[in-house]
Parts: sequence; structure tokens; C-alpha cells
Amino acid sequence: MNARDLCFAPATEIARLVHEREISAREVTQAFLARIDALDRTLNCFIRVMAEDARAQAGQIDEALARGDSPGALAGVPVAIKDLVDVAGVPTTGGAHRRFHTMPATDAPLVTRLRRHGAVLIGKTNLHEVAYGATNVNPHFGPTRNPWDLTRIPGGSSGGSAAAVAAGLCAGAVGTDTGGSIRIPASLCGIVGIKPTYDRVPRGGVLPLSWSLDHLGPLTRTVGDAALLFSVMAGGQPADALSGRQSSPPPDERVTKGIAGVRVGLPRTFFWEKLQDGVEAAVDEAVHMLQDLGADILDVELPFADMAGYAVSVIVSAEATAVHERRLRAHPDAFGNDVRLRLESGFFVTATDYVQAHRARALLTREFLRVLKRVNVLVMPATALTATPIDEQYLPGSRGLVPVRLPLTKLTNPFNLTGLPAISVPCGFTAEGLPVGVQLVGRPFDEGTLFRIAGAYEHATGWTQRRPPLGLPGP
Amino acid sequence: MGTPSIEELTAIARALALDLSPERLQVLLPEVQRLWEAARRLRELPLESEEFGTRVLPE
Repeated sequence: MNARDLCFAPATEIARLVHEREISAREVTQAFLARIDALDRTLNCFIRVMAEDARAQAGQIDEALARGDSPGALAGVPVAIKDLVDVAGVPTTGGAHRRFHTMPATDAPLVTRLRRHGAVLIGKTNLHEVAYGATNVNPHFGPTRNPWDLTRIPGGSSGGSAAAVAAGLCAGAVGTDTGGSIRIPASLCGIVGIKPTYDRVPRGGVLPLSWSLDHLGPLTRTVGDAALLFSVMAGGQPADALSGRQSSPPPDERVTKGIAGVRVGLPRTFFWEKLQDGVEAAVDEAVHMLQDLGADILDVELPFADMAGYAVSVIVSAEATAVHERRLRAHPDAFGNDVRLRLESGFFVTATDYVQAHRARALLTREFLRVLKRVNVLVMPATALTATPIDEQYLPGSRGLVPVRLPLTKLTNPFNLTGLPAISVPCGFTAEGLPVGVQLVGRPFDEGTLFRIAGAYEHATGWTQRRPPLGLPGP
Repeated sequence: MGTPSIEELTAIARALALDLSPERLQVLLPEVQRLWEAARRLRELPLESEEFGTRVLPE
């Protein structure tokens, strides 16, 4: 396997090769570092490449294998960490002004888990400033570029993580998702991204944006890799309200099973409205494929789905402003224009409106769960549009220009509000060669069914095998 | 509460001791109007039942 093929190999395959000592963890790490060195000046996925640390971690894995010890399920797999998650001894920037950077003494719990299972932490990735946006146009670290079209955004806020995975600069990455920040960049970059059930992955050691809506999860090139990283990241952290009651699931063998008889709900109202042409065609085709694979497709209605975005807006605005209030009052000029505008506006959300938004959350959750008693999963586009140009921060709407984030988050944020697990899987490309993602949404704590259906779909279509035509020199 | 005016924003900013100039409040106005419109829409939901508290997920 040459270096380029190695950098696009699934994480499961890299771990197998390292375990069986067909290749060393050091060689794997070096191949990825060389590719980062060749491509990241253009893509700008990383805020910090942890080259020396990564080589040292890889060396420890090789030494463990030489002693006959098992280094874990992610042996030698290069994983990137969104730069709002603490890694001991490495600055956490949050994608913010340098005034706000911190130096953590300890790893976030999920980082500890990744290390314990043999992952090689290769770097900290770029993000929308403090994760408050969906374009990844960052005023402090520059924009991340979409590997499928360098003039376009990767989506965000986990855009550095998604672009790095898509370009073969790491085998998997950690992201966060408050209104779609894993699934949007996964969709726009042609990779897999899962937002697990609320609190399924411990949130300790992570810069918050909205305590009620923040989720953590993996971004990968294949469904099997997402299941593998999820199995390491999820469950069992007593400090978090819900993750503590769920044990870590085993690596999901159901990824490879069929889906005959699975009931898939199709909520055309709201979720199929105002779609870009290429998106609608690709997702319709994905639904037909699920049917061909044996799934029963049922039309369903998700009551009040059009209200989800309103509740998310109110909750995020109040909570994000609370998170950043002291920094904002003391140093407003240290924030970029779009984030400062949103944070300052959050001061004007009333307490009663905030509570009513939470009550709306309870109502929508109850209604969505009723629908999910009749079907195993829901299917819909992950995003209504594909990657937009980097310099285009507003789009025409029915009542004038609207920020790009609004149409980008429209189909993802209902599941932050309701806490339901949701995965975006590549389902094709537009005529311009831009990726499209299909979103599957499951019952609480039933990520396994999402992996099973997404895995069967991936196996039947092969969209995750595509590589971006970077047209850049690289190993 | 309806759509906020610049006068209302000024009064709220003063009450909250926010250091926001009149020019800055004008910049914020469309985003605050969007948030207040979102809150207004939420009041259309059937939330009268005591059932809809702030619990986030089913037990």
C-alpha cells in the first residue's frame, strides 16, 4: 500500500495493519504528517499539528506491540481533535482570539479514552470561532477550504475536522454539534459524521457553546470507522447527566448486516422543502436505494418540526451569551463580527422566552418520539444545500438576505433540540461535483440501528470510496 | 412582546449595564428582531399543559 492509499484507508484497516505488525504506527504517523505538510497550507484544516507528540505516541504503540501488549482498538490510527477539546499540554484556542486561549493540564475524558485505545492524536483542527457558526470562516485562523472545491466552505463548526478527514490528513476526527456542526461539514465534505444521543459522549474538558444542545461525536470516511470511534468515545462518564448510565457499546458488528424489514419514516413536510435541485435528486435516490435494500418506507409527519429552529435560536443565544459574557463585556473587539453580533444579541433574550423554548423542546421531543414508535429511523437530507463560496456569508431568502447558517442548520438542528441520534452519510454529488449527505435519525441510544442502515447503504453505493480531486502535490 | 424598537433595545441595554453605543444597537437590531420573532412564534405552540417542563429526554 502506498502512502496515499494508506492515508485514505479506513481506520479499521489501519488498526488491523498495525496490530498485525504489517506496518508500524510510526510509519502510519509519518505518512499522515507528510500529507499534512504537503496539503494543509492550502486547506487550513489544522490550528496546531502535534507532530512530535504524534511520533512519540506512535513509538509507544509500536513498543507495546513489540512487548506483546495490545495497544487497543484504534492502534496507530491518526485522529484529529477539534480545537475546543482539551488535550493536556496543548493550547485550547476555541478558534478564538489569543487572549482567550487556555493551557489545559489534563485531557478531556474522551481524549483519555482515545489515547487508551491506541489512537495517535495528530493535531487540533480549525473551527468556526468558538463553534458559533456553520461556515468555518474564522477571523483569527483563516478559513478552512473544502477539499472538493477550494473556493468553498467545508461547513462548520467542525469544518477543520471534516476537511482533514475528507482530504486524508487524518483517519478520523472529533467534532462537536450544537445545531449541526458535525453533520453539516460531513455532508458538505462527503464524509460520515454522527451526532450521538444527547450526553452519550462525555462533554468534560470541552469549551461549551450551549449546555442544552452541545453534543460530541466522530467524523470519519466510512460508517464502520464511525462505529469504531463512537464505541470508544461513548458512555460511562459520571460527571455528565446521561452518559453515566450507559455503558460503552461494543464495536458494532451490525454495520455489516442487512436492513430487510426495517421501517424508515419519510417526513417530506418541512424536510423536503426548498432543497437545492442536486440535493433533492441525490437524497431521493438514496431513499430508493434503502427501499431496494429491503427497507419499508413510510410517509410520516414530524409535528412542529418548523418550530425547532426557533427554539434552538432562543436557547443557543441565551446560553452562548452566558458562556462568553465575561469575555464579551471585557473584550468585545476580540470577537469576529458575526460571532460578536450573535453574542451581544443574546443579552436581549428574556428569561421567560428561554424557558418557553425549553418547554417547546419537551413538546417536540414527545411528538418526535411518538413518530419513532412507528418507524425505526427517519430519513431526510442532512443539508438543504451544498457547500457555498467562502466569500458568500449571506443568501437570498424569502424576506431579504439571510445568513448562510440558517439554511445550513435547518434540517439538523431539530435533532439537537430533541437529543435524538443522527448520522450524515454521503449519498452522491451535484453536477458541480459537490458532495451531498443523507441524514438518518434514530431512537434515543439506538446509534446501532443508524450504523446498521448507514453501513448497508454505504456498502451498496460506494460513495464513501470517492476521494477529492485536490489537484495538489501530495504523497 | 412584539418586534423591538431601537428605543426598547436602548432601555434594555441600559438596564443590563451593557456598554453598547446607539450605533452598535442599530447593528444588533435585525438579529434581536429575529430572536424576538422566534420567541413570538414559540408562543403559538400548545404549551399550556403542565406536562411540558424543561426535562430534556425521556426517562
